[in-house]
Amino acid sequence: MGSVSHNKHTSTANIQRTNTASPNQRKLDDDYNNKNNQGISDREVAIIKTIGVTIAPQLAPFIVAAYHIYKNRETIKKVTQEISEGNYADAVQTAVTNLTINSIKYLINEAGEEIVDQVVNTSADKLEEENVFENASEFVFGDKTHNNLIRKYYKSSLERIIGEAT
Amino acid sequence: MNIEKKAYQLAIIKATVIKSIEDDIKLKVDSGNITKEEANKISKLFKKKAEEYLDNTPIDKLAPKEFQNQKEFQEHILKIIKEIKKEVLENK
Repeated sequence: MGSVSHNKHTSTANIQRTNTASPNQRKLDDDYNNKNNQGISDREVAIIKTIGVTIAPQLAPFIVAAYHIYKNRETIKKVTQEISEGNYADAVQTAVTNLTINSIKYLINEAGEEIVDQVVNTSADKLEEENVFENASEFVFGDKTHNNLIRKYYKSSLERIIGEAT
Repeated sequence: MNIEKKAYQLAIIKATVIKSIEDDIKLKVDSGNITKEEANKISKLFKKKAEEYLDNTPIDKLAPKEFQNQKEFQEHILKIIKEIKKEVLENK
């Protein structure tokens, strides 16, 4: 399942995988390449990668965990800024693009429970644009015509996950 | 696993369960065991029961992890379908 970045501060960093990369390095590369909407700089990525892979490979899982905490904080920072500017649509978009439960929690705290509908619909719209529901319909039913049913179930599931976590 | 993937997994599980119920009932109609009218009634009831069961089952049990491949995910869904049929549908 792919994801689309709507972030204006997209990093240009894109770690290239080599054929000789170790499993640890590949995991890090995947994580870094998936980060492209977190506002982390090329230099920061390079530093983390050097520490995690070249100098102390055994630390790689901890470095990745720290990196995820950093990503999460950056997302919340951006959501906060957008809310303070009264830009709720962008805040929802940011939270959905970086769909972490903490950013959603923060968004709900700031904007109220009503924002959940917007988050759920924005997330479903994003997946629809990526044809995720059509593909899922084909996977389950053998054709693409049940995409609306999958979308309905996706929305109710996301709502449940958010509801139970917040 | 992020919550988007988790919600996606839950959606697929729910849709697959519903599809499985529809298929079972269609088989009964095709083999002449029940009429179409009975099938509609049973289908509605079974789907409702199955949805209730899924809604009351902990999320972490339904979507416990990110599956490595389609086969692993399908096996997990089949396990859930089996459980639903045993716990909910066959007791009706």
